[in-house]
Amino acid sequence: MNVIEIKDLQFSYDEHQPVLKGLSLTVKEGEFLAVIGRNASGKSTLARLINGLISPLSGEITVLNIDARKKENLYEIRKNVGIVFQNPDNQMVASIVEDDVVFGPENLGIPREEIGERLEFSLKETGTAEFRESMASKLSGGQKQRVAIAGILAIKPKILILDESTSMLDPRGREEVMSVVKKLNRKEKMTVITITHYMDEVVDCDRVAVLNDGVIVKTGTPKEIFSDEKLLEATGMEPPVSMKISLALNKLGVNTPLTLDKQTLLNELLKLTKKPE
Amino acid sequence: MDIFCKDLYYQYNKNTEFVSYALNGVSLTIKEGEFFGIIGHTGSGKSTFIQHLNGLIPVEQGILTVGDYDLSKTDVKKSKKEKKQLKDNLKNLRRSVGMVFQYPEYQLFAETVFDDVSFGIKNFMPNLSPEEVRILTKNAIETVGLDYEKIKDKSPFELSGGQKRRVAIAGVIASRPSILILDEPCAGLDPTGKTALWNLLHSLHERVIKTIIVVSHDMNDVASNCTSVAVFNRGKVIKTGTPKELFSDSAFISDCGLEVPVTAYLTENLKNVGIKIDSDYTINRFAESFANYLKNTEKADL
Amino acid sequence: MLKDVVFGQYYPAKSPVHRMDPRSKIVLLILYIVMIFIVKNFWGFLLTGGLLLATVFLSKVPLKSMLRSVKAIIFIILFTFIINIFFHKEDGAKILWDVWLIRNVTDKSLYYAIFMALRLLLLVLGSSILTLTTTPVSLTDGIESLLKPLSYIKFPVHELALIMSIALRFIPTLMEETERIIAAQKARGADFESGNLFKRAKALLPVLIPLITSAFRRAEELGDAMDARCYNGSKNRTKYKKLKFSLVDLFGTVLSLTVLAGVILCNLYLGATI
Repeated sequence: MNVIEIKDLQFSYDEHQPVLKGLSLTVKEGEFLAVIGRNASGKSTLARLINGLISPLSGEITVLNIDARKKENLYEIRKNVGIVFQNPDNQMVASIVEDDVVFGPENLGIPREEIGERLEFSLKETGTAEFRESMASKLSGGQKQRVAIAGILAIKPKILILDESTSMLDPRGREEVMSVVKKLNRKEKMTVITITHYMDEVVDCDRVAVLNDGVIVKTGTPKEIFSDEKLLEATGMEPPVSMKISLALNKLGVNTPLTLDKQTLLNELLKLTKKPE
Repeated sequence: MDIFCKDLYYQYNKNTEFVSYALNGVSLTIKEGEFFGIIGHTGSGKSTFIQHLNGLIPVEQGILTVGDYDLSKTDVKKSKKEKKQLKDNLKNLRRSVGMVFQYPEYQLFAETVFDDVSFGIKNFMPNLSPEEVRILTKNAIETVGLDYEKIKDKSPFELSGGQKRRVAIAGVIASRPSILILDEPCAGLDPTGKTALWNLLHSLHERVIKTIIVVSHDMNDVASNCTSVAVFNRGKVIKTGTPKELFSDSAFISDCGLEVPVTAYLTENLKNVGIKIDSDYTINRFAESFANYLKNTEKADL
Repeated sequence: MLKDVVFGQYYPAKSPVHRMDPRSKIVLLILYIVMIFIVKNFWGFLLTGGLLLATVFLSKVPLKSMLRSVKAIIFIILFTFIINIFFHKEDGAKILWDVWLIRNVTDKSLYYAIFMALRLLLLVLGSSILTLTTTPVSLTDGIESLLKPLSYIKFPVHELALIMSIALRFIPTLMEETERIIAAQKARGADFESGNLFKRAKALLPVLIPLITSAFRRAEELGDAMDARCYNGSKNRTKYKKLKFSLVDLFGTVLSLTVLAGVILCNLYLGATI
């Protein structure tokens, strides 16, 4: 089932500068989709449209069969699509972790007992229970983003969008956040859309969509996308390091299949060094 | 200008219950001409350390010299004249040691790009004529790869993210420092922007700035770009060396909470099965070495 | 460092004071402030000081944290003390000291100065107990609940409380940011320490402009984040943390009222020092 269907979507903040110029994309239920593309290619705008923060100028967009073109539907969409933004400092409303996590369900008018259950669930899923009473400002970037995810889980959305949520984190923080998100995708079957500049995060995704100049120019498996050198060059993207190495080897006449991660690459290299029997 | 420090200590939240050592005896030498990488996980003291190098954080304990400037802690009380002298020295030091903080575009403030870039020049060299200021500013803007005429009168706030960052860097290099320190210069940039920024740093290093010091979390970038690297851990430098020396011990790198560059991972694992690949850890050199290894074993078989 | 400012800093601990209902804490703090301002002799201070110490002890907040908030205003206290000791005039006062620079110090002005300094000290300590033991959200919840009656005359109580809690939330973030921007501009040769007042004020522009720009950016992003989390005003909103009076509140109230009675008795029967 498609949870998101977008057809020929157009959007601009001001008339002279269209941001999205006829974008089409479908997202399947339970899918882990990565959206990559240059800075200012329209990725964040796409996220805001899917989440119902803004509504399109023309084209179609339905999220879980709700028509996002109608402004009165936007609130309903926000209940179903959670979004984690880039700056961990700018999405927390309350000073204390617990108080922040319950902000969403409080807005929805959920009864107290149920908010309590949702709070426990969200803290547990994101591994943030140990600092539930801490000041948000005392946490590390990775911890803050996990709290932000907890705050969204408490709304119980079906779709989770990460809008460059790891870009301000150190490698450890990134790892923390991505492992939580991967678990949610696997265990809770949550549909995840991640917008990122870190190609290493894209490698494990089910599917990658490349956004360039306001349109999706290609979707495919990470391998399909990263093997398309012309596409990468045209859209300013780069393959992950392991694939860069296999590309460099191929240029030197060493035939290695293009590999996305270091383990596979190592195995391929080991194969090459073994003498044919 | 060489940088030399020995047994540098620094405490945060002195005299409170939150007291913690940010620097716990840092000893390090950075020679002029290096493209120096500083690595270590968050909270290892990197940021505190680099802010010592231009006197933003005064030395609490230990020895620190940057070129001819002695920033070491002294107990001798200073006269008014000496204090004035010290202040002038500090200004000269800050002119020679440029510092680009994380997300430097958030410090832009002036109405035009020209005013923002010339801010440092005017502070450091108040006696220059407007024409001299103009020339230095123009040079800086062009050095970072922007079109001076097109951009000089624009507001820095209406530029794109990548341009803003370049303008911010121009504002630091405009006063011609001989050492340039950058804290996570690539944070938040897309792959193209990142590659372009590393290229910019290399061209600065070749042409105008003698020593470049980069704090980075990305080990693959450090392995590919730096001539020397220092590893910070718990407020100490626990190892220095070329990327080659450092990353050859990948167990050590992961023990410090850092990721191992892919090239180092491959080299190490190949070595474990008896395949010796000699390379620094840049992608191209690794590929060449591996190709050569294959060629040589083929020859040996024939 | 700016971060040392204790205001709005919550000290997490499990204590009876932490457990108290924020509404009773606010009301009792007001009562306590009334007490320290009606006190007329040192016996009264002994009682109010005792109440304060008992509360600090029960709250498990380390004394160091408390003293930090005093450190921040020590100059104001000293200033009040000095002003009062020299300029407080009263009939029938006995002159204690009147030579050279230190003139006109009377017994009354000395007492008065000590009283004012003590009052300020007790005031700051008492208020910081409130902020140290109450999370910003429950503090604002408390205020919201106490001001609830005003909403019948269309006063935006919920919005006001939300604004307060967001402000408290962003104090540490903006402090940190200010430090960072100051460091960055210093690195570009900015000088905040020399020149006359006008020059110094002008030197602050390179700090203020980025700070304000960033505050607006943060506000915008926070607005989006709140919308994305289904914020819809106070309409149909529930509250997770329910304010509930308990035995601790009763105990606190009884204790405070006893001290109040004690203070009044002291004032009546043990004479007035001022």
